[in-house]
Amino acid sequence: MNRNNTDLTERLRSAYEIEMSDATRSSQISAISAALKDAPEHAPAAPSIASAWRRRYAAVLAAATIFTPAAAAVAAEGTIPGDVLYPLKQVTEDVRSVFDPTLAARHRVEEANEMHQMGFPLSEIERIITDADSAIIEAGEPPELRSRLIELMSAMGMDHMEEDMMGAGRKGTPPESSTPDGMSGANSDQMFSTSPGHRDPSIGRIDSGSRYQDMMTDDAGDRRSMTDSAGYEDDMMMGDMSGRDEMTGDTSGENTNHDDGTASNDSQVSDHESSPPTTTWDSGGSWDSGQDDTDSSHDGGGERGSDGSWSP
Amino acid sequence: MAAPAPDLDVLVDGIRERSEAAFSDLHHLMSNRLVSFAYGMLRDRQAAEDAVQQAFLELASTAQSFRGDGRSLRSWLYRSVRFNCLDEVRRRERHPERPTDELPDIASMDSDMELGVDPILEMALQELSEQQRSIIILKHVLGFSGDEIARILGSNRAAVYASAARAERRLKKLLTPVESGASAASQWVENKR
Repeated sequence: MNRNNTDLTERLRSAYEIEMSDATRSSQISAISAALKDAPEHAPAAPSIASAWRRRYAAVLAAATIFTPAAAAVAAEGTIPGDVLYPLKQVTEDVRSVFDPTLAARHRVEEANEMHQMGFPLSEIERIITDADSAIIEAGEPPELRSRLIELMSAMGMDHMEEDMMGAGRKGTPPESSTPDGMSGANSDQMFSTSPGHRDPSIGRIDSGSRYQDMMTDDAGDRRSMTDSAGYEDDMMMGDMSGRDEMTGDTSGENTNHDDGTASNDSQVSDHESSPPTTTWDSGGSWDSGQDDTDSSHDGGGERGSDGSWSP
Repeated sequence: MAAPAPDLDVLVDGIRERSEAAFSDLHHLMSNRLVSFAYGMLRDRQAAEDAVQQAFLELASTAQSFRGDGRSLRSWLYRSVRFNCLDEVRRRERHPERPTDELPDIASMDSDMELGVDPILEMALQELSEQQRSIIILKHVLGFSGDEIARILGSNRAAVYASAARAERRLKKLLTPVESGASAASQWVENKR
């Protein structure tokens, strides 16, 4: 301690070092003795370790009760179908949709995109795509979500499904010449449930038992009419049409078995697996049209415009 | 100043058993140092003695649940006195003494002068924070080490050393210019009156 500190210490001690007077001391000791006598002989025991732990557990439990649901809801936000927390996402989505009508549509599109990025089979993604389509319709057809869904489907090579959802007018009427069996335009209109430029949600909604799946699993002629020429060629490459129909176990027009559609899409999956699409997404949802397999699956003469639409 | 820790170790069992003799011994052993500490914080002898008594009464009511050795008991007492002093400071802030038309309490001022209160030093100490003032009193008046001060204040040794160094620098800075003026102390006392 240097001299300055020594001086300070001396000065502080001389100023603040005091002693209690004997009278005060006696008075205080008497008060303490009285307090010791007045207090119960067996004062309440100090909290035991067990009770202390009980209090800690209670605090932890209370905190968990408050924070776990919130944390789970946040964690469920990025889930996709099949995840443990996905049902929770659906529950919170129902509630939040009251305030944000486009929430479900955005979730479905994001899920479809994520599942595509993760390499899910198209048969799995198709279900989400149909849900996304329904959600977009219910949300009032937000153009950005619709265009994103179209781009996503194009990237996945699901243009046949895209055409069905959008109606012929949105992407250009499928050329009649593209139907190998010479299906008339009237028949084609019947297949595309909505007329160009008009879409009735009550009619156009696609669910698991929708006309879309019926068409996908219908007889070979109808399926060819749904797909373009390249799709037809794919079917032919797979073998006999009747053989595929046999896979469904139902050759009638009322076929609702999904297996056929799944099998058809599996063939597309195998194509993708053998040659992964080169489509890349950027933050704006635009795409890099460097892929060839998707383009070749369409009607050959068409070109994709910058806005994702097709022009014959 | 020698630390009374060994004696405290002997007293701990008696304190836990609420023995009057043990409490009396503890009071004899600790009261002067405790009241010095409280006086350094409050600059009021009566309030300092009340703070010490309150600490012993609290110990009497919770003695059975006390766990620890003599050093822990000593830290507990200083902490209790410190909290009582802080309560008193807060109470004074909430209910400041109203100026009256009565004459100044010359008797109490004389009493302070007899105790050797250094008005200049007191003025400088008032410029420190409560924490710094506690550290300065514990270190320079009561002779505690950094570890013991940290234990009493519920802080860590590094923080105590840093705070002590800052407080000492500030005290020196405050004391030097004041002392340069010959009439500074008398002027401050006059202002206080």
